[in-house]
Amino acid sequence: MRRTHAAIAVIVAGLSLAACQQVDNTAGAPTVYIDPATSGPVKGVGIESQDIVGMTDQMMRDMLSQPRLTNAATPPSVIIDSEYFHNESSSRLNKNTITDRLRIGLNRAAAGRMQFVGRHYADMVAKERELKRQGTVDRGGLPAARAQKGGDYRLGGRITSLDSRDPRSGAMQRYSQIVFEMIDLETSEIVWSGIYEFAKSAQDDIIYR
Amino acid sequence: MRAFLAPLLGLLLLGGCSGMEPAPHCDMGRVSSQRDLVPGPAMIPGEPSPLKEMPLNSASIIDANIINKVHVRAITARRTATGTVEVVAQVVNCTDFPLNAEARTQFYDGALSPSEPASAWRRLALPARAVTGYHEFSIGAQTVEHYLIEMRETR
Amino acid sequence: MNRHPFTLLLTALLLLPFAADAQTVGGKVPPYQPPAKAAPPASAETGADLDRAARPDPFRRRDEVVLNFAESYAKGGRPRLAFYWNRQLTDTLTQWHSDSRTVSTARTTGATDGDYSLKQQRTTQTATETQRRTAGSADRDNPEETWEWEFQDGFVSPFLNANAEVMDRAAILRIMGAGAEDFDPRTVEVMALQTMSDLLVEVLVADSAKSGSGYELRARILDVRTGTILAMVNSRSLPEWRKDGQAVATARGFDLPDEDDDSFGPERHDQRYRATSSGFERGRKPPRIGDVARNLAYNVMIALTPRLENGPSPAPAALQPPVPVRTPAATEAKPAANDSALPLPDVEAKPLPAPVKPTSQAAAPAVPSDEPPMPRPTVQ
Repeated sequence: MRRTHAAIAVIVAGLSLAACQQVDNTAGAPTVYIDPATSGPVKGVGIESQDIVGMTDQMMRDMLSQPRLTNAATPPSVIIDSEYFHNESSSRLNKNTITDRLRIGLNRAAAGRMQFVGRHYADMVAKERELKRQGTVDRGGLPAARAQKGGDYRLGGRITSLDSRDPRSGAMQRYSQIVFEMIDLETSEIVWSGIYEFAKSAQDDIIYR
Repeated sequence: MRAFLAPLLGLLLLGGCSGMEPAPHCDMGRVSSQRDLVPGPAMIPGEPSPLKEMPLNSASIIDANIINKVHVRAITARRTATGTVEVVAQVVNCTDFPLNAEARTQFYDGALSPSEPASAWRRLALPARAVTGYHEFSIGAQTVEHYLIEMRETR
Repeated sequence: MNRHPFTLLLTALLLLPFAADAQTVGGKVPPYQPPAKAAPPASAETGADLDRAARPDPFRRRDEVVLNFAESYAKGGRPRLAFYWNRQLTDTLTQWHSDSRTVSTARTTGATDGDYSLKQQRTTQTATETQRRTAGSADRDNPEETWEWEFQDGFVSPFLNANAEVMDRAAILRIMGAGAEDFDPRTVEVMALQTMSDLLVEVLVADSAKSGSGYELRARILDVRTGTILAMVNSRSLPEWRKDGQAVATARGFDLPDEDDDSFGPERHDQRYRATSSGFERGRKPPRIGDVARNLAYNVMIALTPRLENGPSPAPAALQPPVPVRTPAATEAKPAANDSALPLPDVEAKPLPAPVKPTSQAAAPAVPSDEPPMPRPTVQ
């Protein structure tokens, strides 16, 4: 009998100890930081951070699976900027947020499979080239180039939207469509296309600044 | 023996009276019973890991809200023309209601280390009783050998 | 104890389907095999045109035109060129004109009766005429002074490079008009042209909304002895000013030129791109006015060269120098400008003798009449 009691006592103690080591499955400390890939407490019907993260990640991965872009015998020079990426939607946003993230993600992932042209730094490069050729500064260490790099492909695209509102309830709905295309800069052939679309509905639209 | 037969016959009759339920029929009891968690990577060589998780090359539903609502039917992985990996999963909505879920994929190299950042959450609109495809591409090519799909309900 | 193995077997059988129906574990990733590289798209073009030299600038310096002109100029007897900057040679003979007059007539009649009879009748007439300087035909709206400097520099420099004798209008007018202050400047102008120059180069600038630069140009070469138009160059007809009519690439695709669009204007040959923070932007700045003027001069030279190749033009037979004497009879008979339009031999510039001033008595004849004749316009 005494052995039985001892065994029960050991089991109970073990169980209670085990209970102390369980996962504390409660919410963490509140913070102002939120995951940009997840919708935060302020949710609207427009394009938000999780959409931008999602669409750029999706387009980047899709582009990396295209042989003409990332498995060409000669790595193509691509221009990815917002110059031909037009926002025709009712969402207010900076287009560069999308194209910059796409370019950065692609450039980091491409690892030489594509070459990227910084066309938005054209004036910076032109100035330095001129300074070198004027002799104001020396020629630097790398070999000179006849001209700035030209592009083989360039990103184009369009953001469009369709808004609808229920006048009785004030509920708002917006369908957003973001189209990405890579254009052959010699022939205007579209060598790759990607689309990201979503529709959101909310009681009232929030204000995007 | 007769005491057993009467309720059995009654249950069978009840089953015959019930209306036809649209496919798919998800037996969640069987799904959960055969869920097999495997030890995670051991931090100390020779020591068993305290972490138990889904095995690699699988889909893990990490949200208790939908763990008994959706069922990942099949997962395949293939190489694209550029050598990157594309995983395709078929997700079954077992309920009679449309669901919104999102999934992401983490790709691993041969040493079971993440070979690249996890993909962004890709939203899936799951119509009631329908099968929806989920696919994701890897960034890397030569470095990718395993994957793990995680799925949760869209908030 | 006998039922225990049976239970185990039953459990194992029940579990078997689950093991075969593993739902979450998927297929393995296929081993990596280096994929074949994608070949570049087939194209017959080699891209050699990318390395070709830039197209020649239509507004570039064209020394061969100047050389050709210099040769022809020598063959043509080295005619002196008088340049008229934005001044048109008009057909108006005098500098003053009147378009109205006021006539005041008073008639006084008085009669006195007495031992002797005296009848007196007197008529007084006063004519007031308003004269104004003719405007709008010769003097034109002058563009900005610095613009004019640059333009003249661009236009004259090819002629100077060709060693042409270029005369300045103001200078020859002053030389010819010294001592002839009472003459109509137009008379002096024609005299100066005929004595001190051979060819008149008239360059006109006109504002034009259709021109890309906002102005149009016209150059005309006249033989001052005969009035022959030797060459005429209009900026509208210059190839450098015409649009090529090609489709223009825009954000909406290619825009074909509007059929009704008759705009024109000098454009940079290469439509230079400027590097900006948002990439390269096309510079739509028109060429400098000096380049445009030089191009016009080249075209004038090209047009003039075949005329000069024929040698100096024969002088007309009548070579009477216009005598700067103005008589009332001559003035009333026909305009003096007609006489002076006759060519003159090469006369060295020298101060002219003071002209004979017209007599004031030669004014309106005092014919008593209800409607007096129009008085002769007076010189300033």
